[in-house]
Amino acid sequence: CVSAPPAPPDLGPITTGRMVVRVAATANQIAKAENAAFELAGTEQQGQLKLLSPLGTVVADAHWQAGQVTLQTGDGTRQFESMEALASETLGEAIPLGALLHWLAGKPWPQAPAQPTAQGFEQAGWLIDTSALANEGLLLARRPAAPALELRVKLDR
Amino acid sequence: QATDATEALRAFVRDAKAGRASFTQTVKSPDGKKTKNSSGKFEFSRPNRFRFVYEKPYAQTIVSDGQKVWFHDPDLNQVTVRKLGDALGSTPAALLAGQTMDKDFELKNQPDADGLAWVLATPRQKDGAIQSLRIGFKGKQLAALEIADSFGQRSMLQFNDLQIEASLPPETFRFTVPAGADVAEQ
Repeated sequence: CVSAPPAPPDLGPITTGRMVVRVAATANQIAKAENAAFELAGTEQQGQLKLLSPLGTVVADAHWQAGQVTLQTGDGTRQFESMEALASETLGEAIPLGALLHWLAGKPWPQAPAQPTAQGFEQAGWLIDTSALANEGLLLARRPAAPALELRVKLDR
Repeated sequence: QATDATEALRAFVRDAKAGRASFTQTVKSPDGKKTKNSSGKFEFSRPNRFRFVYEKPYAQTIVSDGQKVWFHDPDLNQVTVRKLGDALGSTPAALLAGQTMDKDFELKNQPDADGLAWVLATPRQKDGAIQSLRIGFKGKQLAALEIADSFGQRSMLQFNDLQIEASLPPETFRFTVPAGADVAEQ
């Protein structure tokens, strides 16, 4: 008999919303931005990130587990050695996806020291503004070091 | 006399030069457990000009002037601008705004369902993101567009009060960047 594919692991609650990753213009590079709606679930150890188009179609589906990071797109499946490498491929920049899971909950990432700031906290070279997270579901994260990056996330309410 | 949906689609692409409609969009996850609904307004003018305005649950606007496609998300205060070619390809927008159907899609009639006549449109060029489209007609009137992606996710757009026009004013397909919005052109 044909065995059914393994049921996907239960990764717990799914966080959905929209994000934009902006790269500021530099002397020889114009400003760049990548927009996507997303579905994010799991933890740093095991999780899933889906990127979707405005029309609701899935553009990319990434899974990570036990150090193995797999990305599926319409063009096939690829492996990555880290979540940062995955973020570089899907979002155009090495956004610390592991940390993002914690930032979206309004908390610093446990793996690195953090200093409180007026709007939230500073961590791993990023300034995390969580001041509008509770009321509006809006997270702003900025990395001033060149090329300056900005990540804006709007959670579905 | 049953509608031949393939012929209805060819007639629509050939005769409907411009038009507007409201739409509802229902996205179903592959396991059918999750659905996400949105709605808005849609205008098009051949060739390749369209304006999708999502109103609920949140605002997003996609405008093509035939050369470039503007995507505006007010919540993120971001406008991204892409060349039309990059954004169009065999995306559904090409179906409603482009001029060629048979060149880009393989068309095949399907059994009637939900009171509509359906045609399956499979991109001739493997697009990767889009597996197939199904277009539904009520008689000659475009009624629905279902997009199946390569992950098994299905997005159903249903069009209401579709009005076909001889043309629409050009400024319909011009996008004005709101003051203070960040713009990135790729």
